[in-house]
Amino acid sequence: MLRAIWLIVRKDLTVEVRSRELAYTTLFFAISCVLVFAFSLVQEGRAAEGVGAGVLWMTIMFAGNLALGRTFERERQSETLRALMLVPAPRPAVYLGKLTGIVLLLLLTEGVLVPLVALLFQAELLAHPFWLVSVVAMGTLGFAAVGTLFAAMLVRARSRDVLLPVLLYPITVPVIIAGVRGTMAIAQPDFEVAVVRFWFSLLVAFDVVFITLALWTFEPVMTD
Amino acid sequence: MPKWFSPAVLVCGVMFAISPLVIAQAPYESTMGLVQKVFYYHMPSAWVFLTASVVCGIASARFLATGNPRHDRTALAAAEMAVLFGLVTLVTGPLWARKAWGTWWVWDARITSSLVGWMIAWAYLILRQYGGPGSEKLAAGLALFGMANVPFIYVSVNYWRTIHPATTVVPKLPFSMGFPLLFCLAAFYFLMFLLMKLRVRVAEQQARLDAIYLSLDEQA
Amino acid sequence: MLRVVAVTLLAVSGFGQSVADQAVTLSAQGQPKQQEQFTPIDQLPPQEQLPAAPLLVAAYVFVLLTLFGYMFIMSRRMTVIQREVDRLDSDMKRSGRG
Repeated sequence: MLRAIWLIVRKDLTVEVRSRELAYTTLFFAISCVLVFAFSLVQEGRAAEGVGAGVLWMTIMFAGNLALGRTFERERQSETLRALMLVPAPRPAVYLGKLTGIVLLLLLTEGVLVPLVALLFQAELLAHPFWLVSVVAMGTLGFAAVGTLFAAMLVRARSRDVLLPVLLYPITVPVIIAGVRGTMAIAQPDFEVAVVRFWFSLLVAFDVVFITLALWTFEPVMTD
Repeated sequence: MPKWFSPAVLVCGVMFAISPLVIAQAPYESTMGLVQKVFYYHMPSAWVFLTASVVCGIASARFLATGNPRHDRTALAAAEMAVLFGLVTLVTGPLWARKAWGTWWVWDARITSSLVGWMIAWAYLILRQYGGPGSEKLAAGLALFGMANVPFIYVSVNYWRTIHPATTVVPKLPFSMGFPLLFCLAAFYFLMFLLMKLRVRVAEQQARLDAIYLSLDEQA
Repeated sequence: MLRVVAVTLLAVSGFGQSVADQAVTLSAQGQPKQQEQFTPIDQLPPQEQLPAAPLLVAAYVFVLLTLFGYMFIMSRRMTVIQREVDRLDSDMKRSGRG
């Protein structure tokens, strides 16, 4: 099963390295998002207190939504999703393979995004790098876990572009709340580990529950 | 529709018609006065909203497990109930709050969680309507995720409110298990039951119609 | 489906009973805290106090219109579909099922 997952990830990586389309477009879109937020929220050269965390997570959700749509659009165009489903690998491997690819892409984008937001919004995001990485990684994983399932489900549906955010955002509300609150707690001058740990644990619990649920429902939902 | 349906609708209608009279009998609540009476419609509709969401989740799980279209129809009807009664809850709430708390909306844990849950139910209906063929299973998956999400939404919204250093403004709703409340609860649940029965029947007949057309096409 | 609704009703009412008990205990503990963000209604100058009746009436009217409006729309859809089904049924009977 691990081998199957690795093969799928490798396939996606190979395609991506050749064109780098997803990486560059997602990154550019994320930076544009940050710019738009900056113009909306920065007044007289300063952003409102604590706004950086919110901007970070809003951008992750928007960019992530686009990345999910693009990833599966690619599958749909070459009908590779159907081919993948015919492969004699356990179905959950397909899900986990796609999930890994998406998470890698988003983590890459966040690598640029976090310093950028910290800089533009005067947010001390990098004060506690271990916690920051943990919170961002868990939040991204949760968002991607739900998003990969929904995007795969919607591959053959009508109106799939607009339906993905319609389905995704309400379900990932706990992720955004925990992500923003956790990040804000990290950026605070009077840093309290307990608060960050609480939001981190909530994210971990969310990830465990929803990845499990996605693994259960992937097969029944994808097969006719 | 079964024979008892029309008389039942009549009874339900009468219950709603006399409910203002029953509610008028209830004593005035001390801090909120007349406007508190909205509570007798607001709370039962909130309960029906929650019940309908749970029914939708369970029916969706059964549909994914068995593939029986009956469960799918139940899930669809329950989702419509959730959106309907959720809308009623989310409109009567602010109308009450405007007078009682001086503001239309507060980001209180319970209210916000209900809003998110309502949006998930609405997303379910949007998916079924616009997702094209095969969206029944996708919607069932969504409903399942929505149901699993309830504790997470509640915990995260709750602590979003309290750890943040702003004041929460939710006076504990005074709760009297008096007769008017029970009466309204009964009326609302009765209505939900009737509406679900009607909606499921519509879906059944629609399915039958589609099957007939399909067989006609095949014969031609 | 009926069984599902009945069981769910029982479960919810059981849960609701415990919530109700907690709320009764809490409300018995005293008046709700005054919050500085919102001025309690009776401390507002009289001209700023809203009449409650329009809000109450609006709420009730909205509820009844929404719920019974939905009932009406669904019943109409039911008659249309039922008529169509009956028509096709009788057509098929007349032409003799293939």
